[in-house]
Amino acid sequence: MRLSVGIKIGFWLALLGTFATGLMGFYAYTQSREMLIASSQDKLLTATRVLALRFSHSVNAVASDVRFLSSLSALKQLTANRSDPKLSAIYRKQLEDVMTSVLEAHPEYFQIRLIGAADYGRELVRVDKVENGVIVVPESDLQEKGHFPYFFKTIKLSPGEFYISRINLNKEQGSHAGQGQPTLRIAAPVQTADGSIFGVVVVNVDLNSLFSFIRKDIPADINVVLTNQEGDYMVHPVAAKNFGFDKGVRYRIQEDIAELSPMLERDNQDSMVLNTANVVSPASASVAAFVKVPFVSHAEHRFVVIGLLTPLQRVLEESRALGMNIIRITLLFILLALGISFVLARYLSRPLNSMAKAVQRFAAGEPMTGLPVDRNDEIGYLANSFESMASRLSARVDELKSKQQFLGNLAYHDHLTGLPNRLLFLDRLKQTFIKAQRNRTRFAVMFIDLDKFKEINDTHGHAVGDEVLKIAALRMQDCIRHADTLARLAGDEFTILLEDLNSPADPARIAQKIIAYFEQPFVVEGRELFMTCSLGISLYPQDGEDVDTLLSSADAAMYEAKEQGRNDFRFYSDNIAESRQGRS
Amino acid sequence: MNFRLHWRLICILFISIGCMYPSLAGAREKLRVIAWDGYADEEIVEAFEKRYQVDVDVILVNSDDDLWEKINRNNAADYDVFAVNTAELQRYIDRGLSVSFNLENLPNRIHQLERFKNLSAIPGVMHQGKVYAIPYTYSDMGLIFDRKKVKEIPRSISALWDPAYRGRVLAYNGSSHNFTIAAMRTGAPDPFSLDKNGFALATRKLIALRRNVLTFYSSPQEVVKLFTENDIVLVYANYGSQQLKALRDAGADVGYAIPQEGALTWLDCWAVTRGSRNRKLAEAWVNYTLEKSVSQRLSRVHGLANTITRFPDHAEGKIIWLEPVEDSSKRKQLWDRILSGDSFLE
Repeated sequence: MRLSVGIKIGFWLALLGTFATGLMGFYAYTQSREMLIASSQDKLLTATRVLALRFSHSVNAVASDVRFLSSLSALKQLTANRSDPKLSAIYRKQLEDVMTSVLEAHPEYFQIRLIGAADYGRELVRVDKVENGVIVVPESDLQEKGHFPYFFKTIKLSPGEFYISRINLNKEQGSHAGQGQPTLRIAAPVQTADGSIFGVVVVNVDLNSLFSFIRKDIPADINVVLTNQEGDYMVHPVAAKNFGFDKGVRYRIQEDIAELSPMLERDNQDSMVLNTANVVSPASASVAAFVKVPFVSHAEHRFVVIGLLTPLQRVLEESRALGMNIIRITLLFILLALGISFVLARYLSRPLNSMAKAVQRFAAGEPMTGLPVDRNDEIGYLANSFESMASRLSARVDELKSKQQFLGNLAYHDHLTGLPNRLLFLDRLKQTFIKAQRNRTRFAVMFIDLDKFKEINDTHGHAVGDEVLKIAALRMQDCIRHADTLARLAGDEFTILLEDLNSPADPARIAQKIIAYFEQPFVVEGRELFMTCSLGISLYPQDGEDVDTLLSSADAAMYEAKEQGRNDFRFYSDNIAESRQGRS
Repeated sequence: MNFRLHWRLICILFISIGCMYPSLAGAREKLRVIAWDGYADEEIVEAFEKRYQVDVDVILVNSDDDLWEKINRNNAADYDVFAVNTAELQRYIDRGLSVSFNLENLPNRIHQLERFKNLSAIPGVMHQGKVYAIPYTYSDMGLIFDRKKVKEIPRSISALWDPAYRGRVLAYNGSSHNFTIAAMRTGAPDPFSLDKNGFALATRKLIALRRNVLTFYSSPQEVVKLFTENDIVLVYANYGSQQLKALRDAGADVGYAIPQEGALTWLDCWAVTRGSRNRKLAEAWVNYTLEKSVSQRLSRVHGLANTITRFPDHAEGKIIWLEPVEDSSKRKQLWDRILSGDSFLE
């Protein structure tokens, strides 16, 4: 198969264009994918920090509530008048009212208590959240809490300080709505006017409600986890994993994500962002950010860890959209590259094609036309070179042709009269013979000899003889048809080939015409000369079955005419044949 | 070299791996062990998993009540094998939650000390001629004291109630033992079997105990933390030698005493649940823990006695083997109220 230059150039250009744009597209895709992941990590970390901030704000808000409660004037009055049962009862009632309204105002609180230091940490006032509201726990149901850390740790604090407990399941009986629930306890000490310890105020916070408030605007497909400082899950999408440590089974985040161990163990790292297996479905990858939330507690240093996990899928969806855009743009550019290559290929190949065609035509002998010679570039230069080469070439060819013609004439014509010579005549005779044989047509061969021509040569010289020959040739030419052939065989011998005869009378008429024409004087160099001729005619097919016989028959007939007195013509006949045989 | 053939072979290899993978992953059996801290640590679990090509889930319990609640929850269907003391075991047998062993599957029993090999001589492990429990570890529950802070080495269980130590005592958060020691304190004739009056006295004693302790702990690690963070003089050693080792490892200068009333002593055994999905595998686990290296690890790493080698006695004194109590759930209910701070002011 012959590929045109245009197709080849176009193919390679298109390939190059496709490859280059494809490579660019791929590079852009991978780069932007990485950037997207990095930016989503940043975003996630920021979101996690916001959550952490909210969490610590919420805890601080509870702490302020606790401080507010511990500094109520009703409480001060109660501490001051604790030995007076009547006044005590009044201030207790006031305290109960305030605590009730605070509890009612905070859906995330389970319980608010005032625990006295006396009587082994016996509760003095307790308001509990119940299913449909808030109750003040009757005095008979109040309990001793001296052995719980939120009491014995808080009691040692100075005024204004507060205690934040570990978050665990509240197993204390009789705590109503809060029983068995994940609970954070925040407590502050209460002192009497003289600085002695009176008790503690404790608020039990519902971790789940606090946390659902904190995470309210996080999309559903982002997983939120909360662990304590040991890594135990407290908020996990799989509820069974929460507070495992309170149920005998520990589910810890560092078992799912080992990279988190250093952050949990070290003080100097407060956040981490990483690509990791999802804690819910370990098979799927996720981008995760974790932030420590330290509790500014005066009793113990504590922190929790908040983590957000977003499926990598979700991040990559964005990059997929981006990828699709890049693919689209890349395809567009590939199409453009194909188009440009096509146009460029045509632009390059058209002049080349037209040159090729011109050269082909030139090779076929036609003139070289249609070359893009007007172009001002390499192709134009090439075309111009072609053109000048072609014109030089054709000049040489013309020269050769005329030389060839000249040589041809020389070989096939008599140079004196310009008539076909013997060679050409015999050739034509053979052609005519073959045609007549095939077409069953008839033709005649006429032999002409000038009478006593030698005398003219001898008398007037060869130059005059030549002139006479020329005139004789012209006159004979005038007497025959265009299609017939007059030839000079030698000296004063001429032959005529008459093709496509209608009747035997035709050669006779031509012979008479020639004899008649010869009666006119031959004017040579001002002299009038007279000349006759004798003619012999043989006819095909009756006078010869081959070319030589036909010629010799005509020759024999011509001699017969000479012998019979010249200036006449004879058809070949059996008599002539016999006389000739007799003579030979 | 015929690359085509190689390619085909690789394809076949991958396809067959792909076909086998889910069946491999799905076929791995799971053994569910519920036990106490140190009984089945990661190292011995991993070795077992490797040897038997199974997964082992270990669930830790902190109290007899917790264990009872967990085994009971789904009629023992959630676990295959559990560690329980001989006294507690009786209620599991009575409820039909525990099944007997086929001793042929426990060839490693041969390594056990004579007194643990002769099962019929150990009260509580046999029932109607069948073996329900295989001894694994044991400890007496004496008193741990801070050598520097204590006025004198505690001789009686009553030290826990000593007002001199108020707020500096750690007791254990568990109903059964607490009622038993409270009953011992009140001088009850049989501390494992309390009548109504016995309960009332013991309850009052436990309230008094609550008022004297700093707090109640659940795990040995918790004790270490409480001990180092607070001013503690006396600890009721529910975990016995294990706990003593943990405290000493943490740098505490502590001693151990068996009170003159006697120290409650538990013998923890392996038992198989009725809900066990593969008893053979459960028995294989028990047999495995009786291997020398596994049992000795109990003592070496966790400070627990084992049944293979003699454990150096750390204190002399009277020991009282735990016995089944009259009514565990009543003890539990009462204890939960006591722990919550109820004063039982009727």
